[in-house]
Amino acid sequence: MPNKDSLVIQSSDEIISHTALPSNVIIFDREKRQKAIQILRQIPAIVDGVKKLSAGKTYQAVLPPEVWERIKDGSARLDKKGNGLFGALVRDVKAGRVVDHVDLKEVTPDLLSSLNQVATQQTLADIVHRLEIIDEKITDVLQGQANDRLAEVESGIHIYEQAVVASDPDVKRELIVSAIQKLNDGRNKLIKSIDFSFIDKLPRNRLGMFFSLNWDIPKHVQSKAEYVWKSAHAIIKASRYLVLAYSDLNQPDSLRVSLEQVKSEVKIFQDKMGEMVNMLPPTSNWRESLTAISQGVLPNIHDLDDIPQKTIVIEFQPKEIAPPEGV
Amino acid sequence: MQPCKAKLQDGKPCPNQVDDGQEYCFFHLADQDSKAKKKFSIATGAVAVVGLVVTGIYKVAKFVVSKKL
Repeated sequence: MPNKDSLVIQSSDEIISHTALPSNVIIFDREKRQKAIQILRQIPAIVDGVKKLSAGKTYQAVLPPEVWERIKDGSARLDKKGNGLFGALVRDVKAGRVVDHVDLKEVTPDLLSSLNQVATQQTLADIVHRLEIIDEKITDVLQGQANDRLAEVESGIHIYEQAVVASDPDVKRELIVSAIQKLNDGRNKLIKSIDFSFIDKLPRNRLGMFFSLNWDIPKHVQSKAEYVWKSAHAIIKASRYLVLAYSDLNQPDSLRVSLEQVKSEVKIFQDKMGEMVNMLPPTSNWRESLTAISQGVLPNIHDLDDIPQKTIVIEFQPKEIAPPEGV
Repeated sequence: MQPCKAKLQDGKPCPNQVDDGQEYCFFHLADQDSKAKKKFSIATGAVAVVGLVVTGIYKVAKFVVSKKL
């Protein structure tokens, strides 16, 4: 079973990768590989990195996980050559014998930075995809119902859409920053303004229900839940566009902070949504989306922790990515 | 948390969880209450209508009898 965090795009039709363990390799057929290369061509950082491939020489050490574990627990170490340099051998600390050879792969610092950017974008893309699925489940039923109180989020989305088509990089950046501000403000206001107090006021047993002033409690719950549901929809939309906007700026740390700021409110929000699920008809078409919301309105902050651990190995010929000279 | 005892129309068990000390989920409890209130409302309405009709008949009959006398 291939490791889903590892992506190997090979430079030829051969199925042997020199830089990744077979268990970590996803083999791309010719068509898929061509699509991946096309995606790489659209990432300016990759194209720039490829253009500079011959500028410097940096070697990346590729260690099998079991050897890496031994180095981390201190039972093995890289051969010290002095002056801060290490050799290409891994030695057992106690016995002093060689336990493994380090594979070295030539990369440039620019390309490394590009690869980190791709890893970041891949993680952010995963988050966006998850939010899109939740969003679709809600949108299917809501079918474009509008609410004035959600206007700030909509405005942020419109500004982001303008940013996407802006050709001037400075204008684009300004619009993205503005969209982030709107989306953050709108999302935070919605999270804080949603009133769940009706849940606590509801009677929870037959006797209490019989003497309740609400003649039709299920109908009352549904009418209250509808606004909460719409707000949740806007919060998810805002979150999705925030991830996209921070991704465009390549600022996952800022996204992390924006998530931390609303973490406690979101926890209450999700718990209350979970409670509300049991108050709605089991056959309701809201049920699935409310359950999905109760399990995660915002991207999980821990998803972002995976960014440095992503291993993406891309093998290609520079000519496949970079445009011909003079273009 | 216990599962709800109610069955759905297709015979499947209700997926909702119950509150502590209850056998049915909030929705089914509220639904039963709502149905009971509706029945109570219909019964009360029927009694009121019957009462009005009886009162009407009585008054008409009394009027007719008083005219004859």
